[in-house]
This record gives sequence, C-alpha cells and structure tokens, in this order.
Amino acid sequence: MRRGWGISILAGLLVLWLGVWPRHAKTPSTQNTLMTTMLGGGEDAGFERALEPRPMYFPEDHGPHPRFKQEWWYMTGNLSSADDGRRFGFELTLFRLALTPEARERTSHWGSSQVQMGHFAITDIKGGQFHHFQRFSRMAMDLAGAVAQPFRVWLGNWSITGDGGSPLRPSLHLAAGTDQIALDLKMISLKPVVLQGDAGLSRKSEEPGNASYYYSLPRLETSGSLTLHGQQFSVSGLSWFDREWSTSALGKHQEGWDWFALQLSDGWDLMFYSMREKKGGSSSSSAGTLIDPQGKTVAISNQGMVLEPLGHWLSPKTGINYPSGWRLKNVEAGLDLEVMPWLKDQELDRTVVRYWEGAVRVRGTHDKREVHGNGYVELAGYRKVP
Amino acid sequence: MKTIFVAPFLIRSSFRYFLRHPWMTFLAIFGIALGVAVVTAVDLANQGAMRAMRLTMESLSGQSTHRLVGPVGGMDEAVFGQLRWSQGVEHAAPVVEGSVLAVDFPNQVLKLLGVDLVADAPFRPHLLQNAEGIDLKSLVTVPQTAILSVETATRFGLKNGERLHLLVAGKKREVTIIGLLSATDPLIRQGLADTLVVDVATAQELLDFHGRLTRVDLILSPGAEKPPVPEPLRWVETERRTQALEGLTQSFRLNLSVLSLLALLVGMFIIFNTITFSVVRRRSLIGLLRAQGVTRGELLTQLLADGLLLGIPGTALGLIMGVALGKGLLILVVQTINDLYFGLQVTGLPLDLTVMVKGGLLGVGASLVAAWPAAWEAVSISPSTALSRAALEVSAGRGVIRAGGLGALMLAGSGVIWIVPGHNLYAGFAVLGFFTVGAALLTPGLMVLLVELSKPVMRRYGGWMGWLALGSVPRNLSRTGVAVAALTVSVATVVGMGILVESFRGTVVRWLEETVASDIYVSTGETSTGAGVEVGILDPGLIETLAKVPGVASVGLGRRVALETQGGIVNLFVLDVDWSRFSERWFLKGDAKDLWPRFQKGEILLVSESLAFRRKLDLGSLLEIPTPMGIKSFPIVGIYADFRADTGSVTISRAMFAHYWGEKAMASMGIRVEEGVRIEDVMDKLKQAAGLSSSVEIQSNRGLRQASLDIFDRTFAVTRVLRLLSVLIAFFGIWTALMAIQLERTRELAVFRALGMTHDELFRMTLMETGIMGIIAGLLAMPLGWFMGLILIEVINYRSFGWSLHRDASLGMLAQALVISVPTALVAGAFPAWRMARTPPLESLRENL
Repeated sequence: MRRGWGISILAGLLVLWLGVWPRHAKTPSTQNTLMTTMLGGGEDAGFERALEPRPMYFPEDHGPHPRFKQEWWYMTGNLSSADDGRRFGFELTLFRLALTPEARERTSHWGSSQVQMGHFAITDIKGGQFHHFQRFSRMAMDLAGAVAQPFRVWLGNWSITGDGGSPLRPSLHLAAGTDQIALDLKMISLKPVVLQGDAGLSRKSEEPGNASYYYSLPRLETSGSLTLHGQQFSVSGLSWFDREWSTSALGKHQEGWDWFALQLSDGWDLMFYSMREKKGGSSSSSAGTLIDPQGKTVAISNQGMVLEPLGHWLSPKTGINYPSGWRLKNVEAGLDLEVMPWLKDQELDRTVVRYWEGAVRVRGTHDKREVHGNGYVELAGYRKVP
Repeated sequence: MKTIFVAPFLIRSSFRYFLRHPWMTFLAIFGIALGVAVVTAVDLANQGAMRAMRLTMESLSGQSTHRLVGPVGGMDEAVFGQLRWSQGVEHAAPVVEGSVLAVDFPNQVLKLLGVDLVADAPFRPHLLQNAEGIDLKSLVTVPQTAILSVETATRFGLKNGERLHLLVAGKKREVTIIGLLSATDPLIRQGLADTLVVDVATAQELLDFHGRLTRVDLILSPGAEKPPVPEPLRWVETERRTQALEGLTQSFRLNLSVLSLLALLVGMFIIFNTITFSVVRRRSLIGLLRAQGVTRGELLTQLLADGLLLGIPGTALGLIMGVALGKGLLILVVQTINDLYFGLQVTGLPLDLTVMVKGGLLGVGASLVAAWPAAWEAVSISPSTALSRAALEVSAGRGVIRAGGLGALMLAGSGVIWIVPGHNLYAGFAVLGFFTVGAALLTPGLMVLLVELSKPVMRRYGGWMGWLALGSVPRNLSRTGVAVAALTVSVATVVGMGILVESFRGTVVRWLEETVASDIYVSTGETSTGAGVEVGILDPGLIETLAKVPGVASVGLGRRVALETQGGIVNLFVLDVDWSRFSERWFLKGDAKDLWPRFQKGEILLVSESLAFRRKLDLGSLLEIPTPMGIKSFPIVGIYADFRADTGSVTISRAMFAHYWGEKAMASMGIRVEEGVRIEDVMDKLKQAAGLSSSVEIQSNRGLRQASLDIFDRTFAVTRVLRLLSVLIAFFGIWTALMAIQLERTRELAVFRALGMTHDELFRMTLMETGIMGIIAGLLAMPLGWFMGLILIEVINYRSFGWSLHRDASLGMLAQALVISVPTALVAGAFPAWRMARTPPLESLRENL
C-alpha cells in the first residue's frame, strides 16, 4: 500500500508542475486594425492610373510617384555565410501608400498625405526560424521618405540608398535592423534595368487601369553582414529588386497572386506572376519575363505555362493553407523546374496584410541542361478556408 | 512479478466482466472522463480568462511606459525622429496638447489632443473603437478637422460635420467635426470627455506650436536603457492609470494557475475513486482466480491493464467533454467581451497542446497509479481472505487508521511549511498540496467518527431504516471511504475557490473605495516624479482658488516623488490631508489614531505592505531613505495596504517633506464634494475657475472608481464560469460515485427485499444512505474548503505579492458545500433505488453472483 501512495504523490506532483507551467498567447495588434481602417476602403478617384505604356526615365523613376496610390521598393535575396555556408533569405520592402492624391499646403512639418509601411524579414534556414517585422510612419519630418536623386528610400533606419553605378545599373546599399537583427548589404547590378510587361506596363487583369508600372533589377551581386541575435555572419549572394507603382491592380474576379522571381545557375532569371481567379484557376493576365545573362528579355504568357503545386503547408498561426513547392514548366522557354521553399513557414502573419514571402530553391532543366538556383516566391490573397 | 504477458483467459475474463456490468463500466469510464474533463475545461476557461483580462488591460488608455517631457514651451519636434528608431524603443508617438476655448459655449474649456494616428495605435487603442465609420484619412490629411466623443458632442449639441468655433490664445480658429467616437468602455469615455482629438499637424497649426511637441509617449522594451536625450528634456516613468490594476492582474494570473491546479487535484481524486472502486468490487473474483492458480504477478498485471482499459476510453471521452464544456461556457464570456470590444477575434480559442497532453497524461497516468494500491492489496492477501467481503471491510478499517495517520502527518507537514516564512511560491503550493491530500486521507476516519457521533440522534429520530442506512456507510468502508474523500475534496475546492474569488473582489472593491476616496482629482496631467522639478507642480494660488469653489467640501493635497534607494526605486507619497482622510488609509499594522499627531508633525513615516514584505520590515524596523539632507533612517510605526504593481511605497506628511526636502509644492488635489451636489456641476465650476491660464486635468474619481470596478466585474465573470464549472463537475463526480456504490449493492438490497422490505422502504433507505454520504461530504468540505481558501489567500497570494487579501468567507459560501453535495447525493441515489424497486428480488440475487 505504502509504495502505491508514494507513486501517487510523485505522479501528482509531476502533474501539478505541468499545471502551473506558464503559457503565452498573442494579442491582436491594434496598430494593424487601425491601419486597415485608415488605409482601406479608399476611393481611386483623383489618383493617376497605369493605362498605357509610358516612357521610363532613370534615375527619375527610381524615386516616388506620389500621384499613384501605392508604390513599392521590394528587395529580396538569398545569402550564405562565408564561414560555414549557413543560408539565409531576406526581404526588405518599403511601401508608399497615399491617403489622398493631392497633398495640401500645411504650415506644420507633420502635414502629410502619404504613409510608409516597411516589412523586414529574415529566413534563418539552418535555425528553422523566420523573423519578420513591420513598421509605419507618415512620410514627413524625414521620418520616412523617398528621393530619386540621389536615390534613397527610407523608413527610419531601414533604407535602400544609391551607391554609385549608372542610372540603369545602379549599385545600392541596404540597411535594416531591429533590436536583435541587423542587415547591412552592398549590391552591384549584374544586369541593367528590365522593364516588365509591355515596356514597363504590367497588366494584372482585363480591365484597363488594373495595371502597374513595373521594372526590376533582377540580379544584384550582394555582400555584407548579418547580425542575428548577437551572432555576426559575413554573407554574400544574389538579390532581386522590384519596383512597382499603381493605383489598382486586382480585378473584381481576382483574389490574389503567386509571384516567382528565380535566379538560375546558367545566368538566366525568370519572373512570373500568376493572378488567381476567385472561381479558381489563373487569369489570362498572368505573365512573366525570362531574362538572359546579358539582360535581354523574352515575354512569357500564361498560355504554355504550367504551374503545378507539389504540396501544401497549413499555417498553424493563421489557418491558411498555402501551396508549398511547385513544378514550373514552360515548353516554349525550355523550362522544367522544381521550386521548393527553403523553409515552409515564411508567412508574415502579424502584418496588416498576411502573406507568404519566402526564399526558395530551384532545380531542374533549362534548354535541356541541368540548372539549379534560388529565388523568392510571394503568395498573396490567400484566405483561411472555413 | 514473474509474468509480463497476461494470460488470454484473464483478458477475456476482464472483458466479459466489463460487458456484463455495463452500468458499472460506463460509470467507471465516465468517472475518469470527469476527472480529465475538469482539468481540460478549467484550463481552457483559464485561457479565456487570461484573454479577457489582457483585452481589458489593452483597452485602457495610455499604454506608454515612459514619457519624454520638455520645458513649458515644449520640445523641438526633431527629437522625435532621433528617438523613434533608437535601440530599445518599441513604440513612440508625438503628442501636442493644449487647451482651447469653445466660444459658442461660454467659457467652456476643451482639451486639444494632437496625435499621429500612424504612430499612435499602441498608445491610444480606444481611437480605433468604433473608428470604423470615421474618416481617419481626412483627420490626417485635411487641416482643421477634429473628432469628439459622442458624449461630449451631445453635451454641446454638436453633430457630425458641424463646425466648432474656438479661441486659442486670443486668436479665432475653427474646426470641423468629422467623426464621433462612441467608446463603450467607461474609462475610455471618461478619458475622451471634453477632448478634441486632432492630427498632430492640426494641433501645431491651431495652437501656433510649429516645430514643437508637448511630449513624446513611448513604450520601451523591458529592461532597455533609455536613449540619451538633450537637456532640458526629461524622462518620466508613466504612472499608468492601469498601474494599480496591473499588479492585481499578475496576481489574478497566479490565482488562475492555482485554480487549475486545484482542478487537477479534484480530477485525480475522482479518477482515484473510480479505479479503486472498480478493483475493490472485483475482489471476490480475484480471490476465485487466485484459488484456481492464477499467480499474483499475472493478476497484478491484469488489474493494472484493466486500469488502462478503463483509463484510455475514459481519457478520450474526458478530453472531448472538457473541450466541449470549457468552450461552451466560454462562449458566454466571449460574447460579453465581443459586445464590449469592437472587431476583436476572440472566438477562435486555439486548442492548446499542453492542455490536451496534460489531460491525457492525467487520465491514463492517474488510472494506472490509482489501480496500484487496491490491486496490490487484493493480490497480496490469501485467496480465501480475498473471497471474504467481511475481511475486506476489516482491512479497510485498518486502512482508515493508517490513512488517517498519514493524513495527520501530511497536515502537520503542511503546517510546518506554512509557518516557515519565505517568498517561495512552490512552498506555498506544497502547503496547499499536502493539506488537501492530508485532509482527504483523514476523511474516511472522520466519516466513521461522524457516523458514530450521529448514532444517538439517528436512533432516536431516524427509525430502523435510518439506523440501517447510517450503519451501512461505515460497513461498506472499502467503497464509501474513498468516495466520500473524493467528494469532500471536490466540494471543498468549490468552496475554497469561492472564498478566494470573493475575497479578491472584495479586496479590490474596498481598496478602491478607500484609496480613491476623493470625488474629483486635479493634477497638471504631467506626472512629476522627481523632487526639485517644477513640472507637474500645482500653482499654490490655483489650489487656493479651486478650494474656494462652491460645492467643494474638503481638499487633500498630494505629491509623488520617486526615491532611488539601494533596493530600487520606491515611491514616496507626500500627503497633506485632514484626519478624516488619514484615518481612511487602510492600516494593517499600527493604529491610525495614535499615529496621526506624530505623522502630522513629521516625526514618523508609514510604509506599504508590499515594501515591508520585500524588505522584510515590520513595526519597529528602521528604514533608510535618501533625502537632500543625506540618508536618514526612520522607524516604521505603521503599515498600510497598497496593491500597486510597483516595488512599494512610503508615505510622509507635508511637514516632513518640508523639513527634509525643503519643499512645500504639491502636485495633485483630491477634492471631496458636498453632500447632495452633483459632481459634474462642481467639475464645470472648477474648470471655469482654473480657466485657460494653467493646464490642469480635472477628473472625476467617482467615474474612475466605477470604471475600475466594472473592469473587474467583467474579468470576474470568467472566474464565475470557472466556479460554475467546478460545481458542475463536483455534481457529476458525486453522482457517479454514489450511483456506482448503490448499483453495486443491488444484491444486498435484494436480500432486504427478500426479507420483506417494501419498494417504498427500500427506495427511502437508499436515498437516506446517499443522503448521509452527501451530508458527511458536505460537512467535511466546509472546514476543508475554508482552510483551502485561507491557504490560497494567506500563503499563496501573500508569498508571491506580499499582499493581504481581505478574507470574505461568508456563511453562504460555506453552506454552498451542503447545497451542492446533499441534493446531488439524493439525485444519485434515486436511479439505483428506482431500479431496485422495479427489479424482482430474485433476479437481482441471481444477477450478482
């Protein structure tokens, strides 16, 4: 009998211990809710729209286009550490969001009709961790802003700055950080500016005006340093810089997009976006560009592009079921690639807009030769299926 | 234990046994399920409670941890940019504040609050409450736009879209109202009263405050260094409105953990009872098997396997029940929260894996552990003894004594740990654990004692049936002992929880009433925490003016100074109050009447309970505090209650402040309003008297008090759910256990019937038996519950926070024990009694060989 009691008491104590173990939970962000209220539901009236191709001027177009409702400076890249080859992915995006098309004369320096939103993410592939951060600021008081000459776009100490080179092949300096993470990178354009779509007009749906002006610097040789929770890495790799401005992009029948930016080992790069229809399937407006090692482009249409998900990943945080891994095939372009995420969870789940933006690795054939590479994929507009 | 594998025929025998007694099997599984369910449900409800608490806290305005303040003329706005992204700064928001005069409403002063919505969300989340319909874009981009609270707009008869004419420093200005905020939370509504919310740019333009900010609100990472700032800017730690509530939140969180722990104990007892019962009642079968040559090892393994056979489905069922119950009850709570908070997703309560794992471990583990003692007892005796029920009851009788001895030892151990002073929370848990288990072990003995004591009464009034019923309880000790112990513990837990929750709330109510005794609170809105700093000081002329406003009955003055001492920052409260207010300070140690004259003269100081606790001080100890005249040490002669989250406080009189600090200036005014006068009227008069000349904040404390209570009641709604849950489980636990006992006695009762007892008599006797057990459990649960409440309050809460909660153990609360246990016991007896009465005795006799 006595032995039995001893065991009972021990087991009881163990269970009691479990019972007082603290647990944590997240609270919904009031900032996200407020920003959604403030930015959402706006009218497009008064804003300029991307209706037809227009001449692009550089370096002017590296700067802001405040008469369009939204604009972004979108840098993604795959890096590896010089010491041990440890791999990282990164994203730094600065979004300009206009509250009204016209800025009013204000005597206060705080007066502003533009807000900047920044997203910064680091994928620590070996550590299996995805860190992401969001910030906001009004574009006033030098808190945040964008200037074409000399090129600089910044949100506090998150910035992308011109660092020499030529207007079509600029060199850039990127800096971003938080209390725990710091990224400092220098970038040299290996290819000149690539105008996406029809001379820079990228149509997203059938309706005129649902389009953006879009150009890329698809291959930036990158080197610098990453500090992650006190550990410093000297890193190098390739980055991709996207610039896009528009007033509206999604058509009524569309729900989101899957965007691919892949850098292949044979020097070719591929951008492809698939606009998803609400009723399922991809819109005929889906399109892409294949870029040769010199920077010459071949347009890729939706026809002939086979994009087949190889699996799915159910986000435990948001309950959204994202496709995860693809077979990308285009006979005309001679592409047959398998695109796999370096890490399944690269979801930005605490941001105003939830999306998956992550580093991917590529394997397959291009013109019947074996290729490999890296890239970034963005999955936007996915919702939790009830 | 030689055999590891169980002979197939043994498995078959168990299986057949369970199938042949479907009711008993069902009750056993259900009993385990209940134990698991209570733990799972309470844990889930706990999560809901935490969530409710967090939401409540978040809804309170002013989440800032620090403020950066400048000289009277404001600070250079460029400071914000330098500061915003500095290391350690989580959030920062610029604020431009000022007073304006609404010219269309004679002498009406409005507060102009200029914020940057883009940066401000974490600080003033109430701006988003019902902000959905408001054109926030225009507030930012269109000059001269403002929003008002619905209440203020109604007071002025203003409608959305209308213009408001203002006079700012002699200049005419105008704003358009572009939105009305309707805050559901009373605290927030109060914070928005008479306030024009505008964009920071608009505020600069209206106030002619270009290039400057009044202050910067910040949330710094915990433990982060403050970024350097140029002179004459100063850091001020924000005295949050919610500060007092925050300390209590911490304690609330702890208490929820304790409640979940208690639920675990109850769950374990219920399972223990179920399994012990299932082994004990198969004792004769065990004897038969042993007589036929089955070895002890085989039997022991088999009995433990049986524990699993019942434990696994029971656990699975329990997890499902727990989730359903916890969630179902939570929906009630969540609805209230949803009513109060706009746009928050509270409904999706994620299933916590730890909760499920814990429930699973408990169910299966406790089933196994509980099977051990009874199984061991059954196999360690000779087969012939096992066959005899009488032998079992004799051995149970001996067990009662042994258990009682062990129980007394555990109680003593619990007492010893209690007496040892210290801050160790786990020691507190040990006190609770030892006490509960010890008391449960004593229960069977006490039950026998209670039966013996009530025998004379029963003999006189109970009739022969009562006599029989009473006797059957100790006669079936092997069954009734564990069951009554389990019931006592679960009912006692409900009582203990009740005492804790009521005491907690009672304490908050009393504390709020006694410390927030003024009706109106006047301050500069700036918190001055340093001595010798002029910011935040009330102009002596103004104090005099306000004291003379008609309707003001009495005035008390105060000031808070942060003292850097060796043990960390201590708040020094300087009080200039009269006797009536002094006596209201809630003294725990020391007599207010004796202390008053010495306090007035500045001879003594008083310390808060939490300071005394942390520094191990008591009456008579010396406390060293730094003063401009050097470090002085003072004897402690009075200790008062304080539930603020800080490290403790010291209270001195204005005379002492003047003597050691050489200062007389005060920073806040507590005004009491004459009987029968409306507070709002006095506030209006005070505002007029204060005028535009100084920026003072005039708040109604009555509103604050009420609002704080509302918040607590909202939070306590969840604990009420928790208790309801425990009552429900206790109810089912009693029901299951007693019904099982009665069902098992089918044969015995059939004998009674065969001997000539009528249906009716049998029915009544069965009811009486369970009733007696219910009464015993209820009676024993009263002192046990009371002590559990005492331990929760005096040991656990005191050890972790150094707070004395005022104990509210009403008789009603104790009576609850009987209210739960007796009717439940009667209901539990009804079904077997009814079944018995219907079954012909012969059948019952045959059925239970």
